[in-house]
Amino acid sequence: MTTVDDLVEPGDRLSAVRCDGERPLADLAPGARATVTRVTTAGSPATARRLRDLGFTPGTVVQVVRRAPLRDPVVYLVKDYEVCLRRAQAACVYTVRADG
Amino acid sequence: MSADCHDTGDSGTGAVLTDVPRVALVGSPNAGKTSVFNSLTGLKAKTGNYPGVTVARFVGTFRVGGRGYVVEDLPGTYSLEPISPDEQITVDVLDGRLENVPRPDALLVVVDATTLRRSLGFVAQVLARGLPTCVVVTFTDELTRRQGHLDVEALGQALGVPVLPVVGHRGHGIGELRERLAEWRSWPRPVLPPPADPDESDAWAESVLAFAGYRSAERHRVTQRVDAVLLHPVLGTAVFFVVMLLFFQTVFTLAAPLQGYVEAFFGWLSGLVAAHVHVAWLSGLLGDAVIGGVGGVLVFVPQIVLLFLLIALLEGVGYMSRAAFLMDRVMARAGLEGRAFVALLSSFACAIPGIMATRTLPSANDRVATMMAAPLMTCSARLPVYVLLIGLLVDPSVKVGPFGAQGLVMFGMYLLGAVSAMLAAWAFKRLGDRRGLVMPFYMEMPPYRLPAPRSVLVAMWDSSRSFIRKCSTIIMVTTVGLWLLLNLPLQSAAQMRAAGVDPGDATAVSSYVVDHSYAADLGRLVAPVFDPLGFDWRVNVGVLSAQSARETFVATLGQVAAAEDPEHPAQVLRSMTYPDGPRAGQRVFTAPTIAALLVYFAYALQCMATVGIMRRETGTWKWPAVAFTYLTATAWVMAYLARTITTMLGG
Amino acid sequence: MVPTHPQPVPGRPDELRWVVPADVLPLTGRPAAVPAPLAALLADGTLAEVRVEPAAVVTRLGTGRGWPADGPRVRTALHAALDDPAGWAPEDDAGESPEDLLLYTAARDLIDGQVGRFARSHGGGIDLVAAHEGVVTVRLNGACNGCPAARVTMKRRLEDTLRRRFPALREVTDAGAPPS
Repeated sequence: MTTVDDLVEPGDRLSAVRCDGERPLADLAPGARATVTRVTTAGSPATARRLRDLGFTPGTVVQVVRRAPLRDPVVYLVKDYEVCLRRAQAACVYTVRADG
Repeated sequence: MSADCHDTGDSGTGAVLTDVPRVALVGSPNAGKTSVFNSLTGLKAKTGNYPGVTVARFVGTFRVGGRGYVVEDLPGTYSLEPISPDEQITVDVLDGRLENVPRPDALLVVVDATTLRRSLGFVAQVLARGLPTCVVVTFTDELTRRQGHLDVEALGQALGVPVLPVVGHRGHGIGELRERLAEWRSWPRPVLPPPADPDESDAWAESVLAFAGYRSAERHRVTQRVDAVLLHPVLGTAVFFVVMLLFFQTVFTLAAPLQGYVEAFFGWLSGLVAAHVHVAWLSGLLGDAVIGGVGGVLVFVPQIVLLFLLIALLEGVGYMSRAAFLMDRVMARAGLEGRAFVALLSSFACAIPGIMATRTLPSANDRVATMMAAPLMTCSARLPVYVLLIGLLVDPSVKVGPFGAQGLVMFGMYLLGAVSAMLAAWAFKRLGDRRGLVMPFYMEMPPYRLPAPRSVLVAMWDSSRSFIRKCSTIIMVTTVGLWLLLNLPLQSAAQMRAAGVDPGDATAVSSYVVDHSYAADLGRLVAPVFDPLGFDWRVNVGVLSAQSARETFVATLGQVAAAEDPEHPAQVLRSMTYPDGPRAGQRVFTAPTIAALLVYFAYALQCMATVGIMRRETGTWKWPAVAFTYLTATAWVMAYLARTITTMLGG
Repeated sequence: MVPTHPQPVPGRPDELRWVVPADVLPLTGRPAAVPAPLAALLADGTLAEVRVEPAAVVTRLGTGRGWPADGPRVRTALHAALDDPAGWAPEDDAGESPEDLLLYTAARDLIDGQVGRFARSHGGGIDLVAAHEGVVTVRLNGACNGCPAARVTMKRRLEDTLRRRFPALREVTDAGAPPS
């Protein structure tokens, strides 16, 4: 999985990416909001299925809430609740920048 | 179904009549499922294990309208597509595929009103199972407080099943729920179950929410503000260490005087026996073995009660998932996850509550790995042994820089335990993962909530009760067994006089009895095993007697060494020499031997209560056997290494 | 995908009312044409009828069909059809007042169903008098009769539930209410 540099602030980052640019959830900085486009089964189908059951379904808006002290795991706000994922799992969720 | 006919076994429900309706509770963790379960069943719940797996099972009963019902609290899950053994259990129970666990007649799906948007997907999966189902909506009060809205009746209409609001911790709605349960046979069922296709399921959920006038709760302001501090990279970590320090301190220091009272009480009791029972062997058996054994069990209770009170509080408030979030990266090094940290930390006080705390881990592999590691953490029972041995090893006046050398060695022992525990966890996790699927890590961060006092008390009560009930037998048996080994065969006064021992001198008598006991024979028998470590047979007896509980080593060694003061045997031990064999006349407690003993105690699983609790928590003898074997073998090897290294260093 | 979920139609086990957002479909009544996936089910006899209500689509099964077996196909076809609102053609002759009839049917269903059940469980009853231009007239009787608070509660309940099915509802009036 290619990951873009994490240190870019959300503002710079989002403007640098085209609107149709699809990016893994793991690459987003805290504060960013994005819409889920798909969940890959690359890790394992069971993991993809579970991520969907946790609320990461296509069309859902996800907000990156905060990172743990050592930058992993990360808390996300999805479907009105907060859930934390490790990078490995968040990398399976692809997103585009959310409108508004 | 044949399983219905012989519902006995391990199920924990006792002899249940087959016509008693069975209700199962399903729902995600944090949905308030346990609170509903407790409100329904009160304190009539039983904990056990599902056959052959490390998954705790909660079964209770309640009565309504003169009829009894069995209610089972299934492990919390976010999905009925299982990815872990625990979740497989839930699905197997729902499908009636588990031996000795009959399929439930009706289901209660517990959903948190504030996370309804996510939970409806789960409700859809449950409804698709086709069992009579009632949806219990919890935290409706919180939804309203946070400016959300839900028309519960319309939700029922949209779902096609009964929907009831229940505020578990206040008990609101429990009465109606009971009444509703009584008529489970006539619950409406959906004409057409919700779709399985994920996109159609999303459309279904959205439509149901719209029909029920659902408005999401606003984000919990208190949670946001508190998390800004508690999960702050620097501040949060600092607070975490303070919380853990307080946690550890409370368990350690607050429990100590209570444990003192328990010990004092049993001391008084055995004194009473000594004073009133004049048959020596009977008095010894009753006073030392039986009362000592019961006391040995009960002495852990204050720690367990306190620890579970604190865990239930931290869990109920929502801090536990924050602590796990902060520690996850560190624990990931050992292949574990953040939630294992608390269990390992608790093991500093005592491995028993630590092992019981592994229940909070969702993955069975993680639970086993943590359980295998927990006995390595330096528990409080090792302290008196370490104090004695370090006192023999290091002169109190020796200083390394500003620190006393004794303290440094003690610190080193704690470090050795912690590092070994992490390595052991890592190894067992690797072994476990090779056989099963690696579970993805995810953890809900619930809003901070005040826990229901009832749930906290039930959790505390339940843990203490199950500890006493399940562990007392094994501890009693080993204590009595050891007492018999140390005191048999019986020595008559005539025999003693013939051997030149004054029967009136208690110390001399006990020394003589132990010297000629089966335990001494055993100590001599195992001498070849422990000889490379430098232990003589008297040390062996101490090590063997410490097999049930480490702290007895100090007293036993004192007895064996015929010390004038069995509680402070250091002086005698210092000058103790080998009585026979190739090393006759040399001192026993040389630095290499002491180092070997220290290390042996750091690794060996010398605690029958721990073995008992492992058996209870895993539901099989396999894991306690594995733990016992690997820890004893490691103890020997490491002790041998310690002896060799110390010898090389010229000790 | 347009959100939808099915609800039973009281007294009609062969019908399902698929609740859809208002204004997804540009028509009410019995459409002259429906998009192909749904038309196929009408053609092969799975469905006997498709009606459009202001916030719902009602589907009636053909004889010998059952929801557990045929429901999933109906759902999938309906989803496809809802994604294509242009494929729904309104009926040529709009009738005298299909709106009034729809409102009347909706009110009758509720009074026969959940709201009526609620009233009866409290010792009361509701009679439907008329439905015209968004106003439903009912007569409350039984225990409700004579208790102003009960009347108001019952009226509000019917009004709220009905409005969810018929967003154009203006009000429910109680013909039996004592003059205030």
